[in-house]
Amino acid sequence: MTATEIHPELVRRAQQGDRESLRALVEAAYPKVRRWALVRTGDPTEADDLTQDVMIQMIRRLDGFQGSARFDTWLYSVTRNAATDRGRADTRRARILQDPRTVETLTPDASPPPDEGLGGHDVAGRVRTLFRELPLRQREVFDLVELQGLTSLEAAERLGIEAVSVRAHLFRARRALRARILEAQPHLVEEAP
Amino acid sequence: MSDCANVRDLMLEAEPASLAGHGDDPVATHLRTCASCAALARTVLAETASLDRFLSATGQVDATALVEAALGPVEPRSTGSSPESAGEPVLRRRIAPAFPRRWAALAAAAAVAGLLFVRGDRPLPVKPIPGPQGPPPLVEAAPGQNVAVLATGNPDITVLWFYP
Repeated sequence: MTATEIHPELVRRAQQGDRESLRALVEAAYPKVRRWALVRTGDPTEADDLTQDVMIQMIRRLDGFQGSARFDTWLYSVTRNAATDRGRADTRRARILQDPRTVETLTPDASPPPDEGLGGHDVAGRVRTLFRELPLRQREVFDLVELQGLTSLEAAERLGIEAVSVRAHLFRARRALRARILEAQPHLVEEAP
Repeated sequence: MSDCANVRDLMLEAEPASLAGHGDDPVATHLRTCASCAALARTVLAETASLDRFLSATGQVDATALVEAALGPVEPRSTGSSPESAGEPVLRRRIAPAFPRRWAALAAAAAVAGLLFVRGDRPLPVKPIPGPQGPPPLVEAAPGQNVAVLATGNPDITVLWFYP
């Protein structure tokens, strides 16, 4: 179990109906889910909405967690399913909006302020843009291994893929991100002797 | 290929510790002696750390509100022999999910309000509705909602689709 992993005893007490433990579980799970949601969606507002959905589902489905897998793994699957469901709804919505018969669409307050999402145009936002452009699996692996420090095996278990695939995705993500970061630093690159 | 060019290629897949100059591998060894490559490595590490900070940032979570939203508020314990007083876990009391009810209400509202006759060129069978001629209607959605205006094959019918 990693240092930040949710303790099985906390889960067990929450499953038994102890509301204080349930609240503690929500507080422990929220930052993890919110981070996963942000990695998947790339947008803080969407990530907040998705996180709330996942928290509600986690609380209601807690009885369904049997303890055969790590709680983090189960929670990750709940997040992934919720994100997939939201993605399907977004696809349906986009299909309607792209319909040529659509003559006018008004979406009040639909666009996030600039620089707020992963695609912000400030200097700090550049790496977020690069990250968002990576394929989803590479983003997931890069976050879990490179940023959160999981081993390849732990990440593989979390994602339901082979450890060797984790390494492959990690190297591709590193290479893509770092190459783009270096491309944006021509003054440093040109200093090479 | 010069040492620097070679190391910069290796830097693209190197472990973060090597980029920080720790260890005895070729990247770390070179970075300890080459200021320009070390500057590049620091840039990569700094931008990666910036991404980590962005992904880590979370606001305050109101755990009580989330639990109550999922399960409903805590009910006062009765003195009788209810399942609660018998020690049955609160979580096992299934509470009907709120989302299906909300979606059903939205779907019903959309079905009722979805079709609007905006132009009345032809007489309608029951009661003609005088409508404006000219461009499609301008519709404003309530805060937090979106609306799509869809033309149909029938010029007398425009569909307004409200969605969250």
